Amino acid sequence: MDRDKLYERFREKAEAVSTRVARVAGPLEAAALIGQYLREIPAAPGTPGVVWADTPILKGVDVRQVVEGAGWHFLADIQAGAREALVGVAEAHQAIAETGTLVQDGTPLEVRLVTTLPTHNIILVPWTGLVETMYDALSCWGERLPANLSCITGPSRTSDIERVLTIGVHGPETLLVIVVDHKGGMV
Amino acid sequence: MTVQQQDLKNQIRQALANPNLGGALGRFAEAYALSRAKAYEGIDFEALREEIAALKAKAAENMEEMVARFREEAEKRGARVFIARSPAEVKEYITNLATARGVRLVAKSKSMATEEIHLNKHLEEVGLVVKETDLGEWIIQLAGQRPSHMVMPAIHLTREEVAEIFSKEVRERLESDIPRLVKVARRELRQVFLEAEMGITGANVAVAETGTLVLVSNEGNARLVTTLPPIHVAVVGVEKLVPTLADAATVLRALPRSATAQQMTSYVSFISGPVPTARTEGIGPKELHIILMDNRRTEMRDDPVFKQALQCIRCASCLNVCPVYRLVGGHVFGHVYSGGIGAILTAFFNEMQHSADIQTLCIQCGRCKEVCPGKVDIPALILELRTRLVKERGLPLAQRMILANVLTNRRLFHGLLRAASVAQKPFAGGAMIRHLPLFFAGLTENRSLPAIAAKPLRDRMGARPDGTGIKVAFYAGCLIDFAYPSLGEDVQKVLEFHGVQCYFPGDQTCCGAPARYSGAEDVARRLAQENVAAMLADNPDVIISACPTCTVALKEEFSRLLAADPEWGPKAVEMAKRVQDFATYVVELRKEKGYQPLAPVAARQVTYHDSCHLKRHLGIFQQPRQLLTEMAGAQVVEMAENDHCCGMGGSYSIKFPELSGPILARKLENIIASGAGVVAMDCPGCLLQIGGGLDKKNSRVVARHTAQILAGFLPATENA
Ligand code: SF4
Ligand code: SF4
Repeated sequence: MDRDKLYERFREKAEAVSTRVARVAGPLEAAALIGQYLREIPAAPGTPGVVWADTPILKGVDVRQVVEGAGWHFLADIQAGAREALVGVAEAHQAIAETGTLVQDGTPLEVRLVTTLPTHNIILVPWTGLVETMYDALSCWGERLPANLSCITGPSRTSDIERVLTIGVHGPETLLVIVVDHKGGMV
Repeated sequence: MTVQQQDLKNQIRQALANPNLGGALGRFAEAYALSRAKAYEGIDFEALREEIAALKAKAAENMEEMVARFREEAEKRGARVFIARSPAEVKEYITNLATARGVRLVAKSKSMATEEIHLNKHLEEVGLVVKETDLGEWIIQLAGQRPSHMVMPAIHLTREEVAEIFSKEVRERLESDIPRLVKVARRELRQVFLEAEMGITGANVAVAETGTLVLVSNEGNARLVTTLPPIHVAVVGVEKLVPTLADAATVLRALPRSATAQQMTSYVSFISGPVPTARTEGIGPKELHIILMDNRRTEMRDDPVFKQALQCIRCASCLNVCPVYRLVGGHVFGHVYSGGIGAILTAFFNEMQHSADIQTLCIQCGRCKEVCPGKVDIPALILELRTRLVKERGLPLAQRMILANVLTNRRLFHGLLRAASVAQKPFAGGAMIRHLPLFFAGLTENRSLPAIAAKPLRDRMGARPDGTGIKVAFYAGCLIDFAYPSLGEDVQKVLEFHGVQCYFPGDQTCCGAPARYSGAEDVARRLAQENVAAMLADNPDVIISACPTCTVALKEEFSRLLAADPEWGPKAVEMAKRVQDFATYVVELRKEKGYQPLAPVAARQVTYHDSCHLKRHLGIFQQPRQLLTEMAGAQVVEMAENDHCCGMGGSYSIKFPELSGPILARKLENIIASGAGVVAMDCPGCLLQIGGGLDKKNSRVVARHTAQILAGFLPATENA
């Protein structure tokens, strides 16, 4: 399947499980989108801020600038900050079209903290990381299988009370996925 | 009735009296059927489950190798692997570890393996504070209950009840608003994740080639339990092992779809070794302990019959479609593991004792088997359990007397039936009995019963073939012989109309189903032998049955029961080859002879009830519909849930009228809602149940066996 089709499939599946999906031309566009998105989130009084795990895909972008430019606090100490942060930004390696799933090397502690504790998650994934199935995703890792490989499909959810679907339990309540291409403005 | 049976009856009564339970489970069952189908759209379920069953069976076969490989790989990556044979060893290991590391608070993520060994209770006894973090499990823990469903542990509780439970815990009056309740859980448990010194999880799959644990969750609690506390202990049943990562992906194709009708759960973690964790003194490596627990799983693997249960991936879809589970839930139908599969697993992992009564609740409808992604033949395993229980403990005396002394003595049995036909006279109004006195009253509570005929079929149909041409021996079964002899005559009319001769081998007797379903295999074996002899006596070309339960017995069970018998085994196989069910045979005859179908008559609407044995065991559902259309000109309008059980289940309706009744009521509703004036079926047992139910209700809808309908539409001569 060509990548455009994979992307369409991914988007459709991810949106079906309450994920927002955007596709941008490059790192600069991704940064701009995140800034815009942060401005849209109604910040609670005395707003905590944003924790941002390492995002090599945005290499060269001043992420603190992005956060502060949108009027948020940039919480540099992720370990301490993740507990109060309202938003967490991280990167995933792959996106599985068949189920709208992100695949991420969750070995670094920061990555796991940023994607589990805050209320809102923004996850960037490279355009080249689009694959069709879970089989494809797993086979890419081969011998380099990390100690923690995390698959994320939509925000956290439960149906444990009367089977009523409720979004946002222990993990994030919202998830924005930004698929980043390399055609756009490089830094 | 034993104390345990009395207990079970009380529990059933309580469950049925709880409107929340019935409402919640009923609504869920309906929604589940649709959403599951949707989740599987575009996936070849049969091929997928074939693959899963094969890979799980193979993994079980090589369990020792898999355990060794997993251990090697996981240890290479820095995990500590402990192989525990018994629950006691698991508990000891965890207790020692907790003591050595000064653990006080344990955060748990949902795990059936730890439920199985009652780990929480033990850890609390040694002074630890244990908190379940899955919302459903937490609710159950706070309520001091046990899970009633393997995937949705608190499905039996309403939002009001949950609000009540939470209010007590947080000492504040909470409203029964679900999103707010979920927020409360988030707030309360967040502290637990952050403060716990140990996290305990299970695993949904374990991969041998990489030493990987696979954990699925929707709430995100499994991710937090494995991320925040500095020690992670995973308790994993050895049946969770599969050889490769690709195998894990295969299981993951089915698990979320079957379990919660999702294409994928929100989170799937592949854990292959310890990861950095936040300790008070900064980031350090986590300790990862993996306990591979046997607890009689290898024993199960070594059992030629029960090894199949290791193919289970714990999706709980078997509960979601089970008519009995739907009525009483997992606290009654289940122990730690719920439903039919629960009865089987409990027999091994806990105690046979717990299973002994639970398993009697299975009506053998086979719905679970149809949806099981591991291809576990749950009803067959339950029957085997029953048979072994009877071998071990024997049957209650009265039941034993009837089965062994009456059923196997054809003259006595038939003599009693003839006597009963005289004795019932005061109660019978025409062909039906609406009320019976005393302790027989339960039999006529939900349905009328057919009166036992004054003249059984064996006195009405010729006992020997005469003339030439195709010889068809009719196997009637007790119900057609003694309660519905005219139905047997209709079968004969239809067959003879199509140019074959039909006779009634006089030495035939009960097919043994009542004995088999009560676990009395020895009795069933004797009856099998008698019937094989009777049916082969005049060397018929074809043997026809119009009762699916009998057909299954003739076609499959007799050869199985007699397999070890050098004389009768081969004869049973020979006989089985000639057996056909009525509808299939007539379809074949018509095709051979080129009969033309009748034009459909719009007003002649019939709805069709698929009998469990015919549809799911023999795979026949199209043929009777075809006959109704082409021979009777009927329009078949499908009712909702057309292949759901009617609640008869042979003696089940006598043993558990309180369960059989509601199952029947639902069937009748669906029949009536279809708008058809006639409901057709191919099983005299279903006819007794449904026909009796409609009569008791004074419904205008009539129940008929397909043969009865066809016989009424035979033209004087039909052009071949
Ligand atoms: S056979 Fe029917 S009654 Fe028995 S466990 Fe399966 S679904 Fe339930
Ligand atoms: S027996 Fe089959 S349907 Fe039931 S839980 Fe196991 S895998 Fe699922």
